[in-house]
Amino acid sequence: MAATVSVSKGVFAFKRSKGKTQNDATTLSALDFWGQDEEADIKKVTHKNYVHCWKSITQTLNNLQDKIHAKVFEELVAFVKSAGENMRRKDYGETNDIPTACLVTGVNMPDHNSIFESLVRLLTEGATPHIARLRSRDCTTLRGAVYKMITQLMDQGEVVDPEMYEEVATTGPELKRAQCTMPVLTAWYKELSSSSAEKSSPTKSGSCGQMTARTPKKALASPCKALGSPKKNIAYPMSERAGSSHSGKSPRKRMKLSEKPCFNKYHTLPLVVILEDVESFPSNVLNDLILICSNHIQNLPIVLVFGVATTTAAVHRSLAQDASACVAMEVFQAQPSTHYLNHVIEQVLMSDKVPFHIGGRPFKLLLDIFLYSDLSVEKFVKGLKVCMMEHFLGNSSSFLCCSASKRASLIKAMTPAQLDIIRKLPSFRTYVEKCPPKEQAALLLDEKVSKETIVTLLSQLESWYIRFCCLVKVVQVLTSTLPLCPLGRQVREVLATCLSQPLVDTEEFQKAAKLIKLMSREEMLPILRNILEILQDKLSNDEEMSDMHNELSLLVGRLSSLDQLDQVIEEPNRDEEPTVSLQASDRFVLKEKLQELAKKKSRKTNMYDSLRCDVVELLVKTFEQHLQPPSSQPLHEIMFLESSSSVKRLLVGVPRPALTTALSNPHHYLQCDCCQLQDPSSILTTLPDISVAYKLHLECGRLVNLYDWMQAFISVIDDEDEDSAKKTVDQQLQARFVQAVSELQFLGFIKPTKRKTDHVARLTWGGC
Amino acid sequence: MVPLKPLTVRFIDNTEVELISHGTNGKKISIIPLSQRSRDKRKVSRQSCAGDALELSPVQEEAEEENKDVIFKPTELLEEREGMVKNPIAFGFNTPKKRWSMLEKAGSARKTPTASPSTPTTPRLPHLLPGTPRTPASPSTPKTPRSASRTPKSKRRLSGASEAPTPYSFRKRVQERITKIVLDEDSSSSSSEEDDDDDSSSYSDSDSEEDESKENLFNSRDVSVVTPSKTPRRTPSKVAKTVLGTPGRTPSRTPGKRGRQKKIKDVEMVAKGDDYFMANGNSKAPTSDHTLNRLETPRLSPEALQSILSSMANTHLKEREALIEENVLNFPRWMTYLCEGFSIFLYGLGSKKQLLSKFQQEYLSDYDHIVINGFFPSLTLKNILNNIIEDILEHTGGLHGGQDQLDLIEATYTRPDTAPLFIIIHNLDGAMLRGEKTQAAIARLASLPRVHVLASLDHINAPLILDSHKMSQYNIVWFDATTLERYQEETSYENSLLVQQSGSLALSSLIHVFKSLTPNAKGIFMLLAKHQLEQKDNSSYTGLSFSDMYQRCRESFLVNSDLTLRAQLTEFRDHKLLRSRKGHDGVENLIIPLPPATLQDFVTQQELENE
Repeated sequence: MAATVSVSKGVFAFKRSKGKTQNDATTLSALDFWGQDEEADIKKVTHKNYVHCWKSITQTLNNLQDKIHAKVFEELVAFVKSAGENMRRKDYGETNDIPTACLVTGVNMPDHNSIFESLVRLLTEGATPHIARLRSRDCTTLRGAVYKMITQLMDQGEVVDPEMYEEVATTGPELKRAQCTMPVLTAWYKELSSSSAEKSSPTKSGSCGQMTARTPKKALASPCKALGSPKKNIAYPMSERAGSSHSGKSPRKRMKLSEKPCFNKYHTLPLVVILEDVESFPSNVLNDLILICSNHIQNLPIVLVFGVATTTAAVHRSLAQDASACVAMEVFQAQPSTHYLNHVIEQVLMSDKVPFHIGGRPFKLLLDIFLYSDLSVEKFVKGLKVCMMEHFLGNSSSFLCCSASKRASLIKAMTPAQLDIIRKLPSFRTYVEKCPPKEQAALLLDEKVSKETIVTLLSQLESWYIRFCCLVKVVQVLTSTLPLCPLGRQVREVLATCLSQPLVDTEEFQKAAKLIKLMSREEMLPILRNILEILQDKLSNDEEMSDMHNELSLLVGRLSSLDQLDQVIEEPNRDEEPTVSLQASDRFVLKEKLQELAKKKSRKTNMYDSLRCDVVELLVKTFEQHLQPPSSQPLHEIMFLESSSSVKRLLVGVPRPALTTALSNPHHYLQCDCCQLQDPSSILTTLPDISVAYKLHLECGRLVNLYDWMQAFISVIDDEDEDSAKKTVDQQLQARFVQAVSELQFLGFIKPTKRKTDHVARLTWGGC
Repeated sequence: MVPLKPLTVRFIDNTEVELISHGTNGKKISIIPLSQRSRDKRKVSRQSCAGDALELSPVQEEAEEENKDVIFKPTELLEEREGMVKNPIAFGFNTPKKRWSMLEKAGSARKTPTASPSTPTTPRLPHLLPGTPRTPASPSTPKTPRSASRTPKSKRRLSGASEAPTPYSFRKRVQERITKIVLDEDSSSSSSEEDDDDDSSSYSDSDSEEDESKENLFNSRDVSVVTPSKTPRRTPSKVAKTVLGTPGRTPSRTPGKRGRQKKIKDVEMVAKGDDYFMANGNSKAPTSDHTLNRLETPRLSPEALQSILSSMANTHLKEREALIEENVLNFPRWMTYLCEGFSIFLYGLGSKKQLLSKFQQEYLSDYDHIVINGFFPSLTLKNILNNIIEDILEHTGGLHGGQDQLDLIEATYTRPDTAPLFIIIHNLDGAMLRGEKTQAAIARLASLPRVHVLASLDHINAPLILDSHKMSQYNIVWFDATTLERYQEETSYENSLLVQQSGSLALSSLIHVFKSLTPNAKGIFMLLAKHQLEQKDNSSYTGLSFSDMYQRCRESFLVNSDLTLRAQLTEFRDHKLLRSRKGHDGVENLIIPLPPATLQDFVTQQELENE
């Protein structure tokens, strides 16, 4: 392999050796590199499991993606349709307004691509096949923008209409850049509408016979002939815009208007132009594009869709007055990404469809990244993928992490070595230790017994998780409306707590329980009914929970039937209510009296109170029993990823801390005997050169004197320079110093400066 | 007196009474009965449920969240854990430095286990140096004037010992302590007891000595220590001896040292925002006026540097190998992540070029791949795209600029049957790749399903080139690949102050071109060169204007018309021997883009040849 060092070249291409067959090189599969030192068959199985898990997650996500924005997309499609119809009407003629939908998408940029993809899909299905997606990166110039727009619009038509495609194919499949002008588009559109009209109503073909007689080739070619250079093409619509905005009716325009009836009659579908990131479009391009579109609105039913990440005010800011006058905007608000995330958590993480589950710490990590970094669901899912890969790569017992149907055969076919892997799991060991001694021996020695136990344990684990998720939802419903929300409002917060520690022991839950005990009946009943519904939904076939469900429904029944009874009890209460007369003598006296009264007011435990207590007790008991973290369950290692450190290392890069650590304490990485520092700020002669230079430069202010630096450096590095004259510095030492300094410059700690001779400027503050 | 109306108190709810009596949550209870409040809330949540078109269990709306909610803290993300790299040391303010602190620091290195303890200087410096807290130098502190006659060595050592200005508060504390000692103790039995005292105190003994010397303190037994600053001309070895001479000092030192350092470190950890302004407010940088010219060989030539460095063995060879080995073990994992559509970013100190090349050799030889040296100074995006298109895709055909090329690459590598392409980028943060457009293009390449990117990052601010959009396009997985290798190749393109900027390459090419010129053309060039040399001390010299040039050439019969001169100049320009710039007055100024030294070399050489 050739060296990649050159003074004249920065890029080196290596084509794969020709000897290899094409097939070999194109199939790049992670399986070849999966795992490191495991047995081949385990490797295969874990990879298969991973692929399966990931597939089912992506499927769920795909379904979700469309659903999540379903409402706003429906509205948008309806808007596009109605806009198209409006433009078909004759009275639309006089205005130059472009109907525009402004889709506020939120700041989570990475998710936008998928949003627009599904929007395009829905639009093609529901409204029109003519869609152009413009991104700001393609549209740095007006010419580029128009080119992109027109090619995409016309391409769509070709795909939809195979006949047209053939005809266009004769002119060449690709339009030349110079040919992409609005007149071409207009001609193409007329052609399209008339041909479709022909198809739909052949009897009428006579009336517009001259129109259809024109071949597309001519239609495409003629405007180009008329307009010479590409530059003129751009200039042409602009000048027309200028003309029309002043006089309103240029002769050309009148001619177009006269053609309009034909157009109106045989109109097809609107042309949708989606500008995905309006904010980052250059404003002049955006302005001109809008003005051009508005000039052709008579002939081309263009509908714009703006994707806006911030607010609609941003659009108005970037548009000039004349352009924004041409835009009739309607705002559509997409769902916030947190909403989407909640669904993802419920459908992916809390579902039993995917055998892989995420533990408390990794989940919290992913949540933190989402909430504090970019609010991007896509990134959350990527993080989930990394978690899965780590689980399946790093945990050999994960070969059993698959759907229940496959698992049976897998367990049956398990080799003794594989069985040992399972037996060595810490959670299995603790399980064995808890068993009576008789069973212990069997579990550890008898293959059959342990296999059976594994099967039952795993199915128990699965049903436990279903119960767990259901109860998490119950907790969320129960506590989300409490003042101060001690457990958080969202399912994700409750889930994060429950996954990492036993819920009942947490301080937050104690607080919440206290507050629940203060709930009024009107507050409590609907919540409890909600809970019953959830339990009904999820746990209809779970015996353990059905008891609880029954008990709870009984209590709820009693609570609601309390209505009449309560009134009776409360009535006398009201009468009895002590009206205390107090002299306004002293605040303290008043306070004491009040406290006394409060004490005196005996807790008459009425029916409601006792019932409420029963409910809370029941719930707490259930939570205590079932809402233990997954790590308490036997064999949880197979399904749950508990450790977050490896995932964190992969997802959260720490380039700068790593650099400074390596510089200030190289021992952290080198692990050598000689460089152990007691204090991170001290210097040893054995440290790497760059580290010595770094530590010395930390002692300086903004400027570093190179000469002094070198002297200090040499006195550190060189042991026996006591008597040597300072004017002659050993070339080797000097070279080492020079190298260390230029490395620091390369890393960005210093830069050359001209403020003082032979000085460099420091670029950082701090460090030790 | 108007009789006051008796207050009537009515209890609304049992629960509230309970609350009041408990007195815990009292302030959170408002006058509105709980039931009503909850009803309002429920209305909202019910609406949100109704608005949900999906058959999912009710999901609370974010908008509902109120400010008073318990904040969900990113505990997991910000958590520090054993074995992981710690964050706080990377950032923060540092106190400004004293003039000689660097030398002191260097001196502190002397207390290494390798250095023999019997070296006279060793015991002295370690006590002295780490103890001095890094606090702003008070401007009022008198500085001993340095005399030029001193040898640099003595200056270094001495200044380290005596010139460090100490802040007032610190001085005062030391002073107080010493006063106390003086009052308490008899001066005769002082030294050993003071040692004990030191072990328990947080200040280093030598510091107090130093301060004593500064302040001319009253304790007579410290005279021997005071001497160095009083007699600055003394050689350092003598200083050391006097220090050593103090009885009972060194032997009992080691146990106390550790505790002291720790305490001082604790003091340092307190970062104050004021320190930043203290550091930046003082516009005069307290650095010495030494220049490199004091050295015999102020600057090494690049060739010499390279040869010396390559001949020199790096330290910690074994450990470095172990580090690389550790990363090599990760190669299959890298491959797995690459296959799954992630990009791999490597960070950490040390050149990662070798590591990546190893990966390239071991894993990528069967696949198409390109290697980009991000540190290469004349790298452009066009280079990269051209390489992919011409060398990998073997596509020949006119393509309009980068956008079309990108489109073609995108179209090719989204097809599932295309052979995968691996891109290795040494230094994604390289100077030429930092631009927004380049980064956007590379990120777009990285987002293609059949393109896999492996990149290394070295600059401390490298993450600034990534925004959230690019991050998601790159789809990054990070690996800490600290190798502690020298950045030899990466820095070889850098213009360091310490390296002689020899124009040897330019000179040889100049001579080659010059040889092929006609005598008249040679004359023209020499004329310009000489003029430029005359003006070399003039910093505002912008070049010789064309009309002047023409005049001079005519006078020396080198050209006969404006046109011939222009033709000659064009030839120079084509060989990059000449650059012309429009001046402020619109006149074309001609200049030879070479450093004066090189030009001088060239001119003398030519003159020698002509003679």
